[in-house]
Formats: sequence, structure tokens, C-alpha cells
Amino acid sequence: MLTLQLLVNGIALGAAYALCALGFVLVLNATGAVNFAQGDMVMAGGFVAIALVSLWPVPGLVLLPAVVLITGLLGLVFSAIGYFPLKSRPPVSVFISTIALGVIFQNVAMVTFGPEPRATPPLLVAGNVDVGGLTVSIQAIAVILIAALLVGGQHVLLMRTRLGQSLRATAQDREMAAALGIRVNLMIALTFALSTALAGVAGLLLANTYFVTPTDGTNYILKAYIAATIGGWGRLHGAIAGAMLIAVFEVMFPALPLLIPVLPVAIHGMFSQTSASIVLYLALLAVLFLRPQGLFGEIAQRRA
Amino acid sequence: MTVPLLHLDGITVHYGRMLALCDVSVTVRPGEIVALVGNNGAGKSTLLKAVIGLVRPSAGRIMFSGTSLDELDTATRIRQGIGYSPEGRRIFPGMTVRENLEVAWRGERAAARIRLAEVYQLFPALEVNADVPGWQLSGGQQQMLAIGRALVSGSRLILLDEPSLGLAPALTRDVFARIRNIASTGRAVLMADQNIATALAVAHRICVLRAGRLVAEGPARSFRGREEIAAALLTGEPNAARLG
Amino acid sequence: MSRRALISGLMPFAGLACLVAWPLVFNSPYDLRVFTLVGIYSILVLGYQFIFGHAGALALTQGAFFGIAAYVTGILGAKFGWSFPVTFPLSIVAPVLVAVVVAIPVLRLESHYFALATLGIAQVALLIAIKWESVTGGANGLAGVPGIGAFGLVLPRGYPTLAFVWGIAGVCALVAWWLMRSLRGRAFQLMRTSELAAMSIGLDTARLRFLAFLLSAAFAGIAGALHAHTLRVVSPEVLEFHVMVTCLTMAVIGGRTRVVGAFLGAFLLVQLPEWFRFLEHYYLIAYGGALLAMIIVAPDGLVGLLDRIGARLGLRPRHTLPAPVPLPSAAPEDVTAEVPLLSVNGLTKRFGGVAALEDVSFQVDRGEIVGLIGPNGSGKTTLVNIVTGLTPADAGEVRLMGQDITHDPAFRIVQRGVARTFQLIELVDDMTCLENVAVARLTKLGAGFGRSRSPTEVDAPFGLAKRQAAHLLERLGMLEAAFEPAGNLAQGLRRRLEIARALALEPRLLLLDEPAAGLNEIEQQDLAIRLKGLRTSGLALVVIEHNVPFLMAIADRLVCLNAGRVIAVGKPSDVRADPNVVAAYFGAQPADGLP
Repeated sequence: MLTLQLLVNGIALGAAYALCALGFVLVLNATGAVNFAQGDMVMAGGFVAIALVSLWPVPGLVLLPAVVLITGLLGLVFSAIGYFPLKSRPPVSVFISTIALGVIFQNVAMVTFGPEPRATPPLLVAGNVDVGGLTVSIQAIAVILIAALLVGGQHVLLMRTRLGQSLRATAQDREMAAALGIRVNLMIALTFALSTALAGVAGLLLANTYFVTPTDGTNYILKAYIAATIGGWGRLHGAIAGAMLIAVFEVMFPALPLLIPVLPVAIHGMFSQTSASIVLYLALLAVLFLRPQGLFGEIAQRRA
Repeated sequence: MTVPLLHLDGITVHYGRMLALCDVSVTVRPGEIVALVGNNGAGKSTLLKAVIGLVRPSAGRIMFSGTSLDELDTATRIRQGIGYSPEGRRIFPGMTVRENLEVAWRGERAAARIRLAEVYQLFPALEVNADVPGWQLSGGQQQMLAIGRALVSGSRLILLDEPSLGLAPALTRDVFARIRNIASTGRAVLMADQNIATALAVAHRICVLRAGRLVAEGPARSFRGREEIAAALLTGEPNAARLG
Repeated sequence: MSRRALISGLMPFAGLACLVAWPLVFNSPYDLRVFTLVGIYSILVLGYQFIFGHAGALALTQGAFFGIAAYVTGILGAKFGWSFPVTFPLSIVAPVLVAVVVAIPVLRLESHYFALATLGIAQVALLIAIKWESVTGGANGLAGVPGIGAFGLVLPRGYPTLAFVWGIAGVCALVAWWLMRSLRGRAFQLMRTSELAAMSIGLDTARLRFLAFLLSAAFAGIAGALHAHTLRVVSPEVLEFHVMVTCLTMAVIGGRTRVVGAFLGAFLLVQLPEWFRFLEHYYLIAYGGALLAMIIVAPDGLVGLLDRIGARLGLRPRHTLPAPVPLPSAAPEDVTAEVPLLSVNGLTKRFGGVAALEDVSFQVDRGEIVGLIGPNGSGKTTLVNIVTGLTPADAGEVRLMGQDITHDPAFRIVQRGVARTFQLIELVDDMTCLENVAVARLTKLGAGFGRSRSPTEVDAPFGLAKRQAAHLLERLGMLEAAFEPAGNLAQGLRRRLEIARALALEPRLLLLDEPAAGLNEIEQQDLAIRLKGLRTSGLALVVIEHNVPFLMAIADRLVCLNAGRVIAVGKPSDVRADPNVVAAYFGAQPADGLP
């Protein structure tokens, strides 16, 4: 029973990670550049929600469209400052420029909201529901549903619409896309907007249960980065699976002594949030070393 | 004499300090297939790229059905009804055959659908594999797809770079027989091909490029055989062979 | 002119005077400590320049190396009471050992992966520091780290500590300058511009990168230890990502490869926030803004900016042309005339299912010029890549003077005497022509890391290399362009420069990939004459060309490839007339049916 409850929490966390990682990979595919500020956009999404709530106290779900809009616009600005001036330079320049933008976002948040953890209101209402004897928080269910909806929506956008086709064509071969008359700079700017909007929603979804502080970004970008790597660099579905795996592991690992009573008490201290992270990074290094194409990647295939 | 659909006038292109094209003028009329032939590095691909603005000439003018393309960006030029199939095919590996064709749609939807049907008729293999991702296609199928994509977006002018590369010779002749039909409805084709036999077989007119310069030009039938072009290229004498 | 020389000569002294004057003017205990930190960060950035600047790899471990050293000093000093002479070396060794261990899996990774993996390592170090409370003091860290001292004597805070730290910073600066000033520094520049070109002059790039990584770790170790001694406390903050970002920012703002840049970056980024402390977090916003602005506007940092201003003002040092010195004449080899210089036997290579080369065999003799022709995609470049070790063969063998080199790494093949040029020219555009050639003398002259007898003496191998480079430029008729940056040259000269660099390797065999491409007719004729002149010393040339007329003029023999097979070998006029060749080149359908 506890296992199932933890699993639900893990999936909820993973759903939010997945949105962040998805945005990260979208930009990666479209530009070949790593957006190191993607984690800070999660943080920004949380604070945008908090700012909105202070003006207009409504449930989180009502804020969702506004958060999407504002963080999406932020993404356009982001690409105009951090990407386009550097697009013909080596990818490492964009990496550094996004680190710089991350520092700026972080400290704007620090100046505006202070260092204390803040929480957004629940998406619907606080409390738990009983599902077949299993007590689950309403928030967790709402998070999972919204994330699933967005992942689905993103899939439909990319796979079923003209715009999505143009976005994908731009990501796969920018020069050829231009040669077909696609306005590639517009597509890239839109990709940034989509990416930051997904991160922003992740911030809204996380900030109720896990709170938000201005320095959260580093943690989230690392999770997105790891998810993208173990999922196979550049693969959208791989990144989602990677995010789920990470989150479930993070939630389950500290609880292992509770779940497996036979573990000797002496080593219970080894199962903490911190050691979960250590194991996670070591696993990442192992994946990089043994399977650079990712856990779910195929060697010969080009990124799609 | 019909009005030229495309008129390239004195095109000169530099890549950095390297001269890729020098004062090249070529005209394409509606319904006409014009082939650029020449060795690797002769400037054939560069000329095609210049038409749609992927490279910017340092001198010369490009007119498309009476209006200048010089100031327009690639997207705007393509939207006037130009289709382009680059060297090396460049199909989108993560998209299906149908998506690869659909992404090239520009302009009116109904007309684009007709052109799509036309492509499927031309290459039944593409219709059969419509839902197969691009990276799974064989080299020949990829080439068909690349040509098909240019046919879908090129409602008026079709630019083909090395279209015969990777196609079986029999298929090449077959495909170009149909492209001639398509062209006869008023569309035009400007193609670059190293394979002189192909060029002679399919084109109405031939332009021979060497080291960035136009060294010979004329109706395909006026070239007595490929040996003559080969000689022009091998000896490299720009002997002003303006045939026809 | 002499006044300009005077100005540029006096600049370093002016800088030094400012350096000494600063702590005398701003002399409160707090100011002195801040200035000590400037020295410490300078050392950290000097180290980071090795891997990030010189090797061009975005490593995110520098902060972790720094923190690990601080913790080693802290733990040994505060817990065990060990003193500086013991803890200092150990604090340097610890991060270097970590670097050695992680380098094995991490250094071969490509850019993004490398950055991520190094960041992962840094995170692990931070988490261990927090988690391992019994040793590290957990989140609170360790207090009571002793000051710098030995045998019961401890350097007081203030001037003595400041002087000691800056003394070490000075030594580090000298070492960094000395290591990178010579040929080796140019080799790093070549490697980060074009890995391919670096391999083509016989550099073991993996080893260079490894060396740079270890040097980074060692310098970070010095800085971390001094940091712990200066602050007398160690907390997990030293391992936080913030330290890494600070170091990166200093390197970007100061300049990635220059010693002065490290000091400039460290000074600005430690001192400015102190002045703007009242702005609190706003200064961090400005800090991010400055990093962003620098990366967009001045990617070479302040030093690059100053250089550009200096050049505008005519402060560029005057070049004097080194007297040309010929390369040593080749050692008399045991010529066994029966063994050909190069023999390629049954070479086969497939990409996916497509055969790029199918059972290719041919030979090249000493002093011969062999032209390699064939239509697009016939496998010419693949063949050259296999011979030079850039692409592994699936089957068959390559022999150089009878010795099997099929499985040698690229740099070893170069050292055996096979040089090449590239279809797309690979030069360092912002390095002078002379240096572009001189750098290729590195492996032959065996210039170790800055091998000069004294720091003031012009580095002997570098000097010799430049004089030999001058000889090669002269031989190719471009000596007057010696001090021109390679990026300013016209295409024809760039080709020649690349050939000069290849000749600097004293090759027995030179492979040229489309040397005439992009040249006008006059340049082509000139190149043809020079190429013919090269074989006097027994050098053999293999020339890939589409330009058949060009080849007809220079080649002794032609080899024609089509679809990965050799279809004709022989005298140029015969090959050109061969019906198979005409068919392959000019597109008749051959009888045996190509796909």
C-alpha cells in the first residue's frame, strides 16, 4: 500500500520533471544547444504563479493559462537575448549565455521574492481522496493529469499539425527546412517559447508540494539533463521515461528501509534524499560510460 | 519566343575569398528543362542555391517571371512556387514519407494536394511507403522522395541537384520522361547533373560549367554526343563553344 | 616608433606597480582579505584556462577540485592538526587523483556529455561533503582550520598571508605562461580550432587534453588549500555550483587563454561585488548581465578587447623575420628498392550496407606523383582517410615501406612519415602563417612543455621551428605573408600554407585532397609547378583531384576509382582514354550495371 502511494507521488514528481526535460530536449533538437537555464524557467513558473495568486487568489488550475502565456513570452525574450546573437558561434557559447541568463533569473527572483521557500495554492483543493483503499493526494492526481494532458497536447502539436511539422523539420535539418520556405528563425523562437512554457507549468505543478526557492533551478536542470541523457540524447519519449525513472527512484529510495523491513537498522542512515542523489549521479556517470547513446537509445539512429 | 520564367543575369558568387561562380547567365522558359553539367566544384549547386537565396551573389540579378528576387529571403522566394531538391537528398529522417512531402506544401491547399497525388503517381513506391520514416528508406527511395518534395512545392519552377544520383538508369529515364510531361504543362525544371548522359537524355537545353564559368551552352540535340562535352571539360579550354 | 615600443614595454611594469600599490592603499584588514581572495581566484582561473581555454573543453569540475582541496586542508588541519607543509601537497594531490580517475571515462565524451558528466562529479562531491558529517562537519562545515605555517609558527593574517598567497599566484602565473608560451601552446590552439588538423600533424590530442585536465586540477588544488587557510573555515559552499560559475565567468570576462586575463577576471569579479555590496542581489543580476554581454560582444574577454585596442593604436609588437633554416635532410634510410613506399592491398570499407571501398589495391613509389580520380562518391576521400588512420578499414592492409600501419592511430602514422591536407582547408585563422607551419615541427623537435633554458631566453625549439617554418614558406613562395594571420589569405595561399605545414612534418608521402579546388587558372598553374618541385627529395605525392587537366600536367600515374573499385591504373594519357574511365566519369551506363 505504501509502495503504491509512493509510486503515485513519484509519478507526479516525474510528470513535472518530464515537462521540464521535454522542453529541454525540444530546444536541444531545434538548436543543438543546451539551455542551462531550463531549470530556472521551472523556478520562474513557480514564482509567476505565486505573483499571480497574490493579485488574484484562485486555485492553481485557473492560473495555468496565464503561466503558460507569461513563461512562453519569457521564452521568446530568452531566445532573442541568449540564443540568436550567438547562433553562428560554437554551441558552448550558448551554454555559457544560458548559464548567465540563469544567474539573472535566479537573482531577479531573489530580489523580488526573497530566499524563503514559497508555495502555490493547490491546483484544485487540498486534501486526499480514497481510491480503492489507497489514500492519494488530490494534488498528485491533478499534477499527473495536467502533465499527461500537456504531453499529449505537445505530441498532437508536433505530429498532427502543419506548425508541428515545420517545427520538426527545422529541428531535423534547419538548412533544408529553410530551403523549403519554412521560416526557421520563427520556428526556433517558437520552440523556445514552447520549451519555457512547459518548464513554467512544471514550476506551477511542483510549487505546491515541493515549494519554490530562487535557487531551485540547478536541481531541475540537472534532473532534465540526466533524464535527457539516460533517455538517449535528443529523444522526446526517452526523456519522459528518463524523468519518470529519476523521480520514482528519488521518492522510493529514502523509503526503502520502510518498504523492506529486513534491511538491518545499521544501514538505514544510508537511505536519504542526499544519498539518493549521489546514487543518481553515479548511475548517470555509469550510463555515460557504458551506453553513451542512452538507456533507451539505438546506436545507429539519427536524432528525430 | 516565350517570356523567360527564370533569368539569371551575370551571377557571381564568392565563398569567402574563393570564387565559386563568375558572371554566369542562364535563362529558363516555361515548360523547359535546362541541365547544368560540369565537374564537381564547377558551381552547379551554387547556382541553384543562388536562385532560392541560400547563397547571396556578389554580383548579378535574378528575375523570376518578370520580378526581381534579389531582395527577397528564401522563404518568400519559395512561396512564389519554387521547389528545390538539394544534393545529398536531405530528407527529414524522423518524419514519414507523407510528412516529408506535406511539409513542402506552400500556397493553396487544393493545388498542393493535386501535386502530391501527381508525385505518388510518379513514384508509386512512395505511396506504398507513405508511413515509413525517412531514415528507413533505401538510397533510391530517398532520391525519389527528394525529387517528389521539390515537385510538391514547385508549382512553377523545380530545381533539382543531382537527381539521377542513386537512381537506376532505367528509372531515371522513366522519371524524366514523366517530368517532361509535367513540365509541358508550363512548369520548368533547372537541374544540375554530373551525369552527362542523363542530362543529354532528359534536358531541352544544356549549360556546361567549368570552374565557375559557363563554357558552352545550347539545345541538347545540338551537342553531337557526350564526348564533345567531355572534351570541353577534360581539356578545360573555354573555347567559346556556343553551340546552336 | 620607439615611444610605442616604450609604452608597450612599460605596460607590464605599470600593471605590476598597480598590483603592489593596491593593498597599500586599501589596507583595512577586510580589504586585505578580499585582495588575498583575488590572488586565490587568479590561481583557480589560471588552472581553469588549461582545460577550458587551451584545450577548449567546457569542464564543470574546476569548482569541485577547488572544494575537494579545501576540504582536504580543512580536515587534515582542523581534525588532525597537521600543518601546511604536509597538508598543502596532499591538497594538490587529492584533486589530481580525482581528475585521473574521472578522466578515464569522462574525457573521451563529446562536448555536452563532457560538461554534464563533469557537473555530475561536482554534484557528487558536494553531496558527499554534506552527507558525510562525521568527517566533513556536514552542512556546518569545519571551523578552526589553521593558518599557513610550519613548525609551530603561523603566518599572521593581513600582509604576510597576502604576500604569501600572491607569491604563489606569481609562481603559478610564471608556470602557466612558461608552459603555454612555446610550441605547445600553439599546439593547443590548433587542437581547439581543428581536432582533425591537430591529428594530422601527429598530435596525440587525447593525451594533451588529459594533461590539461590534470594541470587544471593541480592549480585548483593550490587555490582550494589557500582558500581554506585564508578563511580558516571550510563549508559546503566551496563545492557549490556558484564557485564554478564564478570561475567560468572570470575566465570568460578576463580572457580564456592569457595569464593576464586570469588576474583581470579574478580582480574584477571579486573586487566589484565588494564595492557594490550595498546592492546585494542586484549585483548578481549585473554579474549575469556582464557575463552575457561579454560572451556576445567580446568572446575573447577583456584581454582580447585590450589587444584589439592596442592593435588599433599601433602597439602591436614588430615582427622580425627569422632567418630561414632548412629542415634536416632525411636520414639515409635502408632502401630496399623492391619494397614500395606505400602499398595498399585489398582495402575494403562499408558504411552501413554500402561499400565505399571494395578490394582496392595500388602502390606508390618514392618520388612519384600519383593522381587519384573518380566521380563523386567513388571512395577517394575514404581511401585517404583509411591510409592516414582517421577511418578504420574493414578488411585489407596498408603498408608503409613494408611495415603494416593499417591499425596505427592517426598521430602515429603521421610520425611514420605520412602527411596530408584536407578538402576543406583546416588552418588556425587567427594564428600567423609562420606559426601555423611552425606548430607542425612540434613532434619532430620534441619540444616538451616549454623547453627553454631560462624564462627570458626565447624558447629554443620554438625559435628553431619558426626558422624552419620560414624556410618552408620561402620554398612555397609565400615568405612575405609570414606574419599575416592565416584567415586573411586568399584561397590559393591557404592551400599552399596547408602544404607547407604538411611538409614541416618531413613526410615521405604527402596526400593532397583536392588541392586545386577553388583556385583560379593562374593559381593552379603555379601550384602544379610547386608540387612537381617537391618530389626532388624522394617525397611521393598522392593527389585527389576532379580537375583532370590539372592532374594531367603533374601526375606520373593515375588511379581511377569508381563505386569503390579501382577501374584503371596507368599513364595519365592511357587512363584518360580508357573507355571504362570515360564511362564512369561521364555517365554512360556501364555494362555490368551500376545500381
